Amino acid sequence: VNAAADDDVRPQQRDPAAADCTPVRSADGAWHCVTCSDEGVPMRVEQVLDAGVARCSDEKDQSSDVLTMLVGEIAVGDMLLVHAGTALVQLRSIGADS
Amino acid sequence: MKFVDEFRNAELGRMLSEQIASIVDPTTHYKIMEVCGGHTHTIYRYGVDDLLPANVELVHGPGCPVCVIPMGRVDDAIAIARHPNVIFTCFGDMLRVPGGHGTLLEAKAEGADVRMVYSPLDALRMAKANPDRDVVFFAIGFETTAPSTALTLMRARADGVKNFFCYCNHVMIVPPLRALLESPDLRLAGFIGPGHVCTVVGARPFEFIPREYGKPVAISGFEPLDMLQSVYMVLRQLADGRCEVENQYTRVVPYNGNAQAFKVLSEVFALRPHFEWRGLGFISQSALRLSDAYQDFDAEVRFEVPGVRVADPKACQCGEVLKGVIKPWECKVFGTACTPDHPIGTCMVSSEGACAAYYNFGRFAREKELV
Repeated sequence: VNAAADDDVRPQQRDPAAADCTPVRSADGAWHCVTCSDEGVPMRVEQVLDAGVARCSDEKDQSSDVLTMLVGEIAVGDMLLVHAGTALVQLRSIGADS
Repeated sequence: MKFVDEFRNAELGRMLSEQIASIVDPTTHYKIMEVCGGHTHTIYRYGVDDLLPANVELVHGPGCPVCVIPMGRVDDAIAIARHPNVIFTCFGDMLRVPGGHGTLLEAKAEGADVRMVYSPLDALRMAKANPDRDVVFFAIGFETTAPSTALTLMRARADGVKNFFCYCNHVMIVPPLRALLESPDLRLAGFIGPGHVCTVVGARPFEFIPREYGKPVAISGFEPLDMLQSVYMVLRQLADGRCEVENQYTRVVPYNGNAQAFKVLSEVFALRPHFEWRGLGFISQSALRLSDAYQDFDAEVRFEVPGVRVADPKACQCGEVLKGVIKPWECKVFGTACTPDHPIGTCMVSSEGACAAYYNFGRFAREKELV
């Protein structure tokens, strides 16, 4: 596995006028395109807000509000896989350590 | 970070690479299609293909919604965005996708109020903050993204928001896969299935691939070890004479999908009778529209759109790239007229498009493959 790939080897931002359309760089350091349905950002629940919404933070402590209606009961400290502002699944250690 | 670092272990990667080499038949050429653009991205970002034997070829599939959006739909989006009272919101990559009459970014430069958002919920917030404006969200994506749009629309209804609209371009992954499998010019040994789509729909919808077409499938995660293990699982099935759907991404994918997601999707969306896919043509029941219960939020009902079909530029071979018939560098305009700076085809726009992945990470593969 190419460890050097962790360094960003993308060309510089292509178009200064398009500075606001950079793909998302998620907590794991990878570039993702939200549109492509592949983005899945592991986030930690920091605070359960009103029904179906939780404030979550990524690895770099950037926080955002996430819809949690698809993942049932959650509690502070749970890890969620978040896509386009919606938690798709609770991350558990099943398979991760094997 | 947990759930990430352990799937980038170089030593385990080397072991998997050796195991893959030990089970392939050197006289056979294996073409395995990774469906997701995210997988394509991982392959080139981490050099996964360099860890595979020369006779194991990864072919890139149609799993990037940006890449399959036809030009006419972009033109319709621009037409909506040009309405004077509209704030048009979309994900970043859609801003640069060329339609027949320019891009959303160009429309913005010409005065349209086009804004990028990271989630549909951001767009709904914008609608609440601007009650005198009509806020339209360009909904696009596979089954992974559709629940996010659905939940946001349900929230908009519950909150009584009347100025929020959805321009719906959500598509589904199974119909284009079936269309690809019916294609006579594509000989695939197996598939690497789309992991995050399967967090919603589960692995079950892919059972038709082994059952009807005799091809093995491994649902895969997006880290390099995930991908290597999935390639191994497909090759192992072929070596054993088995043919089934295996779930490599068990830490995330429930085999039967997410029941709550199915419920919200069926409430908010309905099937379109047909939808155009770039490079694949019209595919029946392959996309979603808003259900009758949510017509009040449908931008195509609220605003007039041209709805004109626009042919792709002649020089662009996105269709063949999306079907895995040609490699990106075999396209006549790859890396010359078509670059990430000035994309002609959609596959060069999205960071997960096959052409952009080749251009940004794998452009030297061209020399390697020519040797």
